[in-house]
Amino acid sequence: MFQIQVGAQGAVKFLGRLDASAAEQAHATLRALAGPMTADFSELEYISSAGLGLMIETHKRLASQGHGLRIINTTPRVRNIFAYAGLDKLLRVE
Amino acid sequence: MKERRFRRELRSLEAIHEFVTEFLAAHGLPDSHSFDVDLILEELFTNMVRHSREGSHDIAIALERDGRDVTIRLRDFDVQAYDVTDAPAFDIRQPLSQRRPGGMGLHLVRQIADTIRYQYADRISTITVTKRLDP
Repeated sequence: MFQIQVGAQGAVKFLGRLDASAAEQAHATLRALAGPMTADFSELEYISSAGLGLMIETHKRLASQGHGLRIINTTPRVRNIFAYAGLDKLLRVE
Repeated sequence: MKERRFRRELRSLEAIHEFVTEFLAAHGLPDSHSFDVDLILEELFTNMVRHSREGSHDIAIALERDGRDVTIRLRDFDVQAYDVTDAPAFDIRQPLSQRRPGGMGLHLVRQIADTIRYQYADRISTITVTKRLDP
């Protein structure tokens, strides 16, 4: 089960399991957002390469518009996945 | 070995996760182990779905426990060979500007799994992975 909650001022909360199927659904929601974004991963239980790809694409799109993406409150396991892919140094993962 | 078949579509991932959860519970293992097993299964399953487009059969997934080791086996029927162990290594130093979709999933599997074996016979692709669970 995956949910994405869009709040005020670029706050986006990810909840549940961001697998390849969920990443397809989340893609449309994120594409509709502009401006700086803070992705709260405190309740994200799982992420795969599809979720990483979604965050790379979102980062690139926002950067091309002069905006940043912060990924905050990652759990140790989710953070490990970013690190395995070398993304903890390329994206702003906190 | 406990085996179940899944339709070759991304929507199967939820049912695959339930299969893993049931397996862990049946063996008295904590649900926290599902992260690694799910990740290995998702990356290899989606790889089969995307690379073997001619395949029309469901994909068989089997799980077996031997002490702290879990064996994960995926079988894709009536397809061309695609040896995932032959895939080029993924460069994690690659800048974001040069990153393209693909490659990252198999890299994650290689990071997490202990062994990965590929076999191809009678037009059946079989990937067998072992993963030692943390105590």
